[in-house]
Amino acid sequence: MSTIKMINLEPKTIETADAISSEILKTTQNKLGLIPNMYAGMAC
Amino acid sequence: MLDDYVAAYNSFRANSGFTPQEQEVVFLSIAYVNNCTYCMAAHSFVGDNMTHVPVEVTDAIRSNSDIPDVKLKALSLFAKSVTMNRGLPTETDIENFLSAGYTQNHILAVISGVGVKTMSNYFNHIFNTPIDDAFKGRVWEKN
Repeated sequence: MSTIKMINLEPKTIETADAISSEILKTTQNKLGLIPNMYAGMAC
Repeated sequence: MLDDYVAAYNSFRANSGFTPQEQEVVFLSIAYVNNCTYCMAAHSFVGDNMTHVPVEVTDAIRSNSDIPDVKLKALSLFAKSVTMNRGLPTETDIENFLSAGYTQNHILAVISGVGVKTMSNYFNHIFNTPIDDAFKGRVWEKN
């Protein structure tokens, strides 16, 4: 399957995400002990 | 998008009416049809370590072979049909699903599951999400 590799998405962190995403990333980190790459990518 | 996804995901986990094992079967079956390598690895890991899906069930979904559990097999086939047919399963698909012991509310829940996984599967396709180290023991490719 081909993927669109030219789109470069900068993953976000608790520190760099906006307030809504940051809170979700923080909750996820506490709950799972990690932030899945998909969550970091979906964050704004 | 993270907010949309997590809200829908958490709602499905809490309110779908499916057991945690059934929820994983729904997610894995949808991800299989959509060929989402990231979600197949992630939900195989979650099934193995968190929601306690029998490994032979997860492996059957991963290899598109017969699931050794009649009810979970019916659930998987229905979730796959809804996904594959873009929300238009056949009457036989619906009858088979209900005959296995599921209800109309479970049909609604499968639609919700497809909604949740459409977000993640499409995101991972477009952005080619790298698989986390934690999920690498369950890397998957469609045969």
